[in-house]
Amino acid sequence: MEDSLAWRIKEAKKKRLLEVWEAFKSNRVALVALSIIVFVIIVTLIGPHITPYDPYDFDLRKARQPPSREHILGADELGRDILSRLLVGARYTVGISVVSIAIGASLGTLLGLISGYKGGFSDSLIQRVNDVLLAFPTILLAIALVAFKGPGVSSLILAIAVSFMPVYVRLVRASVLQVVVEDYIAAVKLLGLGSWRIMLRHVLPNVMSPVIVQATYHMGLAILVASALGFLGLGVPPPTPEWGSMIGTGKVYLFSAPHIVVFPGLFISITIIAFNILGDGLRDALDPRARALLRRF
Amino acid sequence: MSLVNYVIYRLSQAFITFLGASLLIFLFVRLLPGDPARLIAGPEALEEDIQMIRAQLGLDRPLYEQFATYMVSLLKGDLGTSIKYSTPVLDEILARLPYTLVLAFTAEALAVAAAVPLGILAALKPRSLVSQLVSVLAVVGASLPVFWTGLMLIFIFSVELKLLPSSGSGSPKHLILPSVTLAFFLIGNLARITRAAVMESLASNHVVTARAKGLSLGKILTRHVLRNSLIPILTVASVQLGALLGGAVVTETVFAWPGIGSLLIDSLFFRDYPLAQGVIMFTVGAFILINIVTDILYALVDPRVREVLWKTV
Repeated sequence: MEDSLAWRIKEAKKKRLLEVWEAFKSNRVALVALSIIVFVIIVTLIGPHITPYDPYDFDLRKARQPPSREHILGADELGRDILSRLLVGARYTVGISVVSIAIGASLGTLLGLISGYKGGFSDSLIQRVNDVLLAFPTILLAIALVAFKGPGVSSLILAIAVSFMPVYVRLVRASVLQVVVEDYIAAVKLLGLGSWRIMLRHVLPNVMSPVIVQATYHMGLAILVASALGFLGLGVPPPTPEWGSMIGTGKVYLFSAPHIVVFPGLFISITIIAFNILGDGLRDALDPRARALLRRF
Repeated sequence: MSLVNYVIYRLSQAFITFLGASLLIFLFVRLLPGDPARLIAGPEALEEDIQMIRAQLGLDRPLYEQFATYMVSLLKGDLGTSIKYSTPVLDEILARLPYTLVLAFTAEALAVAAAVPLGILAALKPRSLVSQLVSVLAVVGASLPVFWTGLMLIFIFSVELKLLPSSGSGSPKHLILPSVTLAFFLIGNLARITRAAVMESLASNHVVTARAKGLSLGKILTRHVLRNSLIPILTVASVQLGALLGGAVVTETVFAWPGIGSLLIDSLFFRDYPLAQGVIMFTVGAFILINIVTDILYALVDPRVREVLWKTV
């Protein structure tokens, strides 16, 4: 009897995943977006190994050369191969965004879980601090954190993670409040399970769908913020080929060599568009009713 | 609860949030690894110089004493003195503020003027090209980084066509490119919200009745549909406007537009940290205030919202 129940639960979970995938698959645009993202992530992982040239190797004779057979996307203001720099730069722009959102979403989810499930003093405390963080426009909070902590990869990750975290605290708390009144939670409480076990095993899985969708949208937004900070000169210091800082340092040559600015911008834009479309697709596939709760911003 | 009580309640709540935000910024500066005095002094500074700057900024005193001094002057409206300009930070901000306000309002007005008609057309014909355009704009507009679209617009209209100035603020012409850049970022989302609101309202019972009565489409739209769709549109527009006041940093920098956004970036590069801190405090205060004004306006406009808001209080 035990076995058959566990087996039935497992089957039901498998069936649910399959249903989500079926729903997602029927959305052709979202499939294209997913393949673009898979491609970008592969580039992020193996980028430095597939560059045609050394991304740091400058050659002033080739400075600002437009795209040619030799340099498919042209050379930048110091004669460095733009394609090679973009391939390596994914590691910074996309990599930093992935890590930041992973940290921000996990921390925010944990705090939202505690806030919503425990209530009382911890709830008030978390909510008051969260209100303060939400009082900052996202990019301003990120700028403030980066500016006062100094440039570098770790400050960028901290800045973006902290700027996006409050959204998850609010989102998860709201979802938890809906879940805790369900009968199955009352049932596990009666069974005498500890509150941490109930939170992590029984509440958390039921609030994950909106978190996953929100995190997908936030990937796009995080790339936007990371590259904007790079553009402003507050991100990873040069000569690191972060996509936004490539535009920031190349913008002076907009008049004579626009390709230096055009190609990194296309990489950023296409990646963000893909994440936003994937987010829409996931939202529709996971739970069409969740639409009202989730916003892309 | 009466409206007056509600306003008082919201303002006091906002004041607490603002105090929290000041504490947070205060802590950012003092507790994060990295020494503001060292940052201001620059990498080649001598240890004595750093000590001197530390004493000048009061950073050598105990933390609670520093916070007390900081809060007292903040509540007096004193945001400190700029290191670069040697003028009060507040004066510097107020001198730049009109530029940011003009840019933000122009961009938002452009976005509303384009998005609302688009959204209405899309809602009337959900399968048309216009509707698809709204869907595409909603994704693409919000995905392209403003610093890139800005540079692309400069390239097209200043470099190639030589129609518009690329940066600065000398004439109304200078306002066109930065506000179009920002508006492009906002249009898609706003048009999508308008479409959803108008579609929902078109399907509601009172509109169906009005149609059955044989009222003309124009009258139905202006009298019944738009009035009900206005709330979500206004919500999004005011949230956008609030974000623009603090978030136009990037656009202002691209176009060298002399608002408070570019003032913030300048202050960071000059390590003018009292100025930077002041601009951030000011913007957060403005952001909080706009959110409250929006909430209070709803309460005045929509009796349903009023009821919900007052009950939650």
